Amino acid sequence: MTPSLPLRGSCARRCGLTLVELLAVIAIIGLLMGLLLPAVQSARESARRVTCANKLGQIAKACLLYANANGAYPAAFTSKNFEHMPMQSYTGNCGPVVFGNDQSPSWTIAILPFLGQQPRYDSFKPWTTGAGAAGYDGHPSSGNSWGANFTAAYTPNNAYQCPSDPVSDSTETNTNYFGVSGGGHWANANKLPKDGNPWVSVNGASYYNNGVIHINGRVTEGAILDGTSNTFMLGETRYQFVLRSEQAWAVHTNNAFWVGRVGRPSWAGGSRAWSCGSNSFALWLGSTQASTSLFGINVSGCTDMLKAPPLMHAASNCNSPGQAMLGGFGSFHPGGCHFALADGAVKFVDEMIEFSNSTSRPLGLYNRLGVKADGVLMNSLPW
Amino acid sequence: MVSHSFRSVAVTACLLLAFLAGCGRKKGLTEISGTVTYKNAPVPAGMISIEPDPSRDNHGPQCAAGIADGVFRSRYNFGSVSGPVVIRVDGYTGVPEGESFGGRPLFPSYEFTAEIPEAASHTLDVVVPDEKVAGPKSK
Repeated sequence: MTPSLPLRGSCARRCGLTLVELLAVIAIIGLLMGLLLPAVQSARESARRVTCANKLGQIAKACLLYANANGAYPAAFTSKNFEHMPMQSYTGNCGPVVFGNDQSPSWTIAILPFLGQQPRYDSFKPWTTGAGAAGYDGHPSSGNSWGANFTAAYTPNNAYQCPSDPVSDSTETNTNYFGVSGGGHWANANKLPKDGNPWVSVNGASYYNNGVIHINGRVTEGAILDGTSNTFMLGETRYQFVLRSEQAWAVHTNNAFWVGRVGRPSWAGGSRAWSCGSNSFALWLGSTQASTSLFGINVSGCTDMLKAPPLMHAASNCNSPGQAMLGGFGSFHPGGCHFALADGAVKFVDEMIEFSNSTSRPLGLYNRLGVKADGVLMNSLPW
Repeated sequence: MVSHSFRSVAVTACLLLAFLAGCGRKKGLTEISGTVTYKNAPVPAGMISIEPDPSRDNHGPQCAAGIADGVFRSRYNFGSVSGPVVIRVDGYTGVPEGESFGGRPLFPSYEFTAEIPEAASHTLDVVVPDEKVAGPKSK
């Protein structure tokens, strides 16, 4: 009648878990979780990496559509100041600064219609008003082209943000994709370039203009003698050309006006600013480009921005105020970063790629892949 | 009991394997750290670039780091290739000037060659020669 009774009786001694057994089970579960979590994290990172590469592919395709419509790849930006490039150097220190009269926007703005962002493109005012008396102070009310486009430039643009970058959230205005302006030997920015040098010094950084997207570029497909499938066009970056740390900027300029107004990275080009005597300037520089000349992929760690030489770039993962990294191309993906070729293909380039930029040595492979007509082809790479 | 101890040994072995799989120095690069001095004083700001020397048949990635107060360190888990390298040092006053945060250059780019040993890490102390002291300008 009561078959369960004897069972209950035996269960009283055997069915319960002892504390030790419970702890053992928890420990084992913890161990398994510990083993599993890194795998989950890496799976999430690989998903982010795919998204990141897809975004780069979209931007590359927009550049190709731009090239179809305009007959040439977009220039990094155009400016009369660089009209005589590469003959003219622009150091920015207390020289006559006339900027903006016929300056075009950064390539990141120029391709917006082909990126499905026509309304955003329309929100930028034409680059017609000059620096003039109003000064390029970066203030929205100053009425110059920089001021008029302040809001548009500092509206975050998700299309230029790689999800692997922890800083690239919906409130940041950074970009993770740079144009490749060229490549070559180390060029000391503190020496003025001689006539005919294929690079220009801008605010202490040097840019080669022998690539696909460079200042005053308008490079046609026919000019890419290495072939569009053998030349870098865009590269991923984790470095912002402009200061991330406004605090550092305020310390430097000793001028509270700058804080929060200029010196912030922007996908739309951002600005460089400096004070020179009683004049202050912010400069729409189209700082959305880099050369494969100075630094390899992911080369360096954080360092102190206030002690940084001119070539230091603020980096999105150096979050303490005043920190910076050596710039160039790089990513938060383990082992390398993506590049888009001039034909739109996206490749992951290993950070171990050969690098050499000493003026007394032959150039490395990485340094030459940014160059559009030097005879170095992609099949030199082991992919 | 036999099966129990066998099991625990097997589990331990598996865990050890899993643990060890995550270790190992990646890529065989040598992490570099060290000091840079000029005229017997630490270089306040600057950068150092260590590159394999292709003219001595050494190839690989660049290792670069910023110099602050005479000290530099390569990125964690990344560093220089071993073997013959070309090293270039740029030093700055560290006093912001104009729009240049690093200030004026202290000396022209100083480039020299060296050998990096095959090791996990290596200390490199660079003394930038003072041209005025090293040799009177005879030219």
